[in-house]
Amino acid sequence: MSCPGSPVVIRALLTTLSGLAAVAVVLGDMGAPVQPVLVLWFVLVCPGMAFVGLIRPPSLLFALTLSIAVSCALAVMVSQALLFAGAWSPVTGLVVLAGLTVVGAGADLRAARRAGPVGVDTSEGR
Amino acid sequence: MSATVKSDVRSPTREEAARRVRTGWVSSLVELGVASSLWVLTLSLVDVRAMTDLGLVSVLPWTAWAALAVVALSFARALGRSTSPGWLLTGYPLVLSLLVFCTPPILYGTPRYSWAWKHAGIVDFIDRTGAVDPQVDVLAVYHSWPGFFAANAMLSDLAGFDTSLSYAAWAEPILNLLALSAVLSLIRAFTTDARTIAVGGWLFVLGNWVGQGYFSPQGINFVWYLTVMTVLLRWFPGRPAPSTPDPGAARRVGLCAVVLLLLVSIVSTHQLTPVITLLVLTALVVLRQTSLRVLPSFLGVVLGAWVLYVAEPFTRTELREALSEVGTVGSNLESTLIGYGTATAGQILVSLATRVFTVGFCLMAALGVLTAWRSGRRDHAALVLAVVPFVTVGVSTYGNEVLFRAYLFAMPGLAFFAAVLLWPPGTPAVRRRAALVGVVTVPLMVGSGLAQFGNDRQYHFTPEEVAAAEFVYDNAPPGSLLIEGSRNYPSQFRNYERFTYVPIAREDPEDIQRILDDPVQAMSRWMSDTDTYSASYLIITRSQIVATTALGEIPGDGLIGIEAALRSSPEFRVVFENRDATVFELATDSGGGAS
Repeated sequence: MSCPGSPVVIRALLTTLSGLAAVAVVLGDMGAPVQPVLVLWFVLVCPGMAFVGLIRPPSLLFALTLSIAVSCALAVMVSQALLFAGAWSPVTGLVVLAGLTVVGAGADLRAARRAGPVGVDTSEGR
Repeated sequence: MSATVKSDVRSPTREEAARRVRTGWVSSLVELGVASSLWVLTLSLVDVRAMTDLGLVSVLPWTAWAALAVVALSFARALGRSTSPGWLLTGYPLVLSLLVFCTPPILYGTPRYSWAWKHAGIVDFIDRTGAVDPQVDVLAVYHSWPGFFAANAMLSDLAGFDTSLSYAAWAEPILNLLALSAVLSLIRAFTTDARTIAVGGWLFVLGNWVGQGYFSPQGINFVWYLTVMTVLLRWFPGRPAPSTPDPGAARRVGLCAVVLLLLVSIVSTHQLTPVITLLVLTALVVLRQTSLRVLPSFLGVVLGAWVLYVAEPFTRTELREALSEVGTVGSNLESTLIGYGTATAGQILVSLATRVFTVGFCLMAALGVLTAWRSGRRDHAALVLAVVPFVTVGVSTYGNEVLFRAYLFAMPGLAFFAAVLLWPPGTPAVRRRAALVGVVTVPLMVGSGLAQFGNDRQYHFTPEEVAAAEFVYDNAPPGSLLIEGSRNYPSQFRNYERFTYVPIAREDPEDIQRILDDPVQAMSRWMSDTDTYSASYLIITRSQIVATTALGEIPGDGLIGIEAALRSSPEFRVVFENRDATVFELATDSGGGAS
């Protein structure tokens, strides 16, 4: 069960709201310093963070590394797909990434609700 | 009554222990704070222009060495304290990495390495055209593996930057931190000893001098490679330890999805990383070190599809050349090493120090393998990571770069075994061993400084050089000829496909000699081809002069002599100049809009 204030809810809210804010800031052409800071934060960290929650990494350091690695991979996949489809549009790419983030955050919340109260995660691999 | 007495006796002891733990890590944090302050002071004292052929180390003041000494001493002290928590120990390599790799962007203000600028040029191309052109004459390979550049074109556009160069310099500390963080997690797959892990991370920072963690596809691909290996070896080991809990079906699916996503990203953004990843995965599967046995087949299919279908325009022409390099171990090794007959004394010292450092590091790792073997450890997976990347030395299309790349990919395994030598897993916190780590760190820091930053006199670029290149790229008409002293300068970062590039340093030695014999006549002949080119320019910059002199690429007075001859000739006109760069065109040329 994920209650308000639990890490899962906070993570889902943080990533989803960051995505929405990034889209709003880009569409509103807000400019520096808000636009670059928000866009870099969202594109490089949030999509991965939304999905990485499902994996429950064993340490904060590895969770952050995995979030950035996965975010970069998703940015590469989305931008490359737009490029090869002949539909190059950075804003479309951002919207797709925001959509993926919402999906990831939703799946994270659903998994947490199904799992019930989660204790300390001990499955750290070796 | 007895219970009360017992409690009274134990409480102060527990309190004392807690106080010792607190005092330990507080003193560590204070020491790290002192080191960081000294480093900040250092950055304000460095005169980059005074750099010699020994690179950045030649201009570091005493405060820099003092800061490094404090970090090393503090690390050794923390290792020797039995109360040091794991987070504190792993914090040391992270702080060291931050200090080392934040230095270039702060000191230079522009990205190191000319390749970072060329990468920005591909990003600029995609940003302007919204497409790639695999048939383009220059840097065509990047148009067949465009993922890194497309993502940066999207990112810089969304962030409102004019160019990816706005943030490219900061890729260096970020990518190196990510790689270190992944390595710390990866070593955790081999041992749970916090001290061995921390020493492994420490050695990774010191040993990784190759400098591929910059604004490049290789930089992010190395992070992905490390992440894939971490997930595989920690959550999908070949023989799970009895105590290893099952991650659960849903989590296994999530972890597999991450691995597959990262593998596809690797294939679509880089040429060498998927090959090394495939070799390492195959070795891990053959030696039963991972339970995900289907991965090499998956990666092979995706790689084959990309090379033969998506990148077909490039591979059609380049595959024959690529195959011809298979088995050329000797020539690859030979061409990796600089020519001692022509290089300057400083560069020879840097090169020698780098070789000694690399051999020494590999020797430490080899002794670590023996130590592990004698103590009954069978770290087959770590051995695969340390050895298999070197197979590419015989089967790559990277020519002289491949040895460096193989060393880079072997680094996690090498660092782990070197850590096993210095701090075998299970060793209690003893001061003598901690002192050994501190003592070994001293030569490693000096060697790493020379190897990592020894070429920085030519690898860093001044704003004046950037201004000269910008002048040419912004003003020259499409179809222009751009003669460069060498490739080593901030080049091709804007409108790059509009030029034909001819670097003098890449000419045959006989042709270079002909140019030196009569620069005015030779350049005049090259630049007067108005049938082929809409305009012609010659650009000579500080970093070109430094690079060609340091490596002995152009003998005699080199580019300085050519520049002096053209300045004194009425046949040429200077269209742009500052203290670090000069741009020439023919005096008879209308200028094509550049004057």
